[in-house]
Amino acid sequence: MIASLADAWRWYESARTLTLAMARLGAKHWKDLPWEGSLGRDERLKSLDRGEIRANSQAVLEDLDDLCVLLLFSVFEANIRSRVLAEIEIEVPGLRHVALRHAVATLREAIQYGSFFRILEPYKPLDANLIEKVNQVRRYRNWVAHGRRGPQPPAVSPQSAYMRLQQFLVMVETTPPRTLG
Amino acid sequence: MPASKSFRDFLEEKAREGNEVTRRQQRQEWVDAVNRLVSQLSQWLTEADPKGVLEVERVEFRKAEEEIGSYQVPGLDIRLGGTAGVRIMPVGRNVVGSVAFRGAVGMPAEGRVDLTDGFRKYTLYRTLEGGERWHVVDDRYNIAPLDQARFEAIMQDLLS
Repeated sequence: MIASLADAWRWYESARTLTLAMARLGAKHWKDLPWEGSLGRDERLKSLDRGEIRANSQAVLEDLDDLCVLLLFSVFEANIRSRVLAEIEIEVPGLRHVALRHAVATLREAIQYGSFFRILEPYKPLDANLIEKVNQVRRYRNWVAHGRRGPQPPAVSPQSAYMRLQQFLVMVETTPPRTLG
Repeated sequence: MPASKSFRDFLEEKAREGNEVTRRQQRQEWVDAVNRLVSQLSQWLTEADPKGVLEVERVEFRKAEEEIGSYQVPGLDIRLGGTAGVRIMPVGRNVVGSVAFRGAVGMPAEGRVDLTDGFRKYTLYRTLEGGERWHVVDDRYNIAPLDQARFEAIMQDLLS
């Protein structure tokens, strides 16, 4: 299961390594494989031809980098939302007034389903520059997620996305929530 | 100036015009930079291939970037023997990230061009600090300055 940025990165590296290996096998060695033995009886492999392997590998690799950015940001977003929610839950038991309890219910919903941009806003005093870097990843993710329609925002590589999001998580994890604001 | 336009509208219009000039300049500067790069790479290919084994075709890409608008920019399609091929393809003027050599402070990337055989990819990043320079990042995230020897090694790898 992919639950952390490290998990997502491992998935990306594995998918890329395996696809590149399969592409290489198809392009360079497919006809030299010992098809006379058990390999030739393997239903999954015997029907594959070089052209199909090439086309399929290319189809995977063409979008893999952007899919990785999408995945990294989704994992990051889920982590931040649940972290903020957990931090707020600690404060809730002390609240007695009905208006406050109602406000907390609204806040919970906003944290779970509302604009992620607004969730990041309170972290600005910690490092506004880093928030902007994360927002650049978010904008690129949105562009990819909406079918790459319209002008391209500044391009984000998987490595840049991973480093920025990881940097933000480290900052949040090492800062007690009450020091914000 | 029409009477209906307020001073505030007038100033906003001027600001927009100023932005448009900057956008146009940035766009042109980027297209010029890619043209220079493509010419340099073409020249290195010609020098390495006196017998004309490679088929090199200049191709045009239509791009649209949020910050600089739409433009057309060149790339290269390089083929060897009708099977192996490499595409040199501009990705964008505005890219997120920096180019950092081990132990050094990163320089902001100011443009990206990819070299790919459709499977493997080398990424060229441009930096402008201390003059325009191009750097190559391979698929293991190693960074090296782009020079003729490095380019020839990349082409040999992608065409093998």
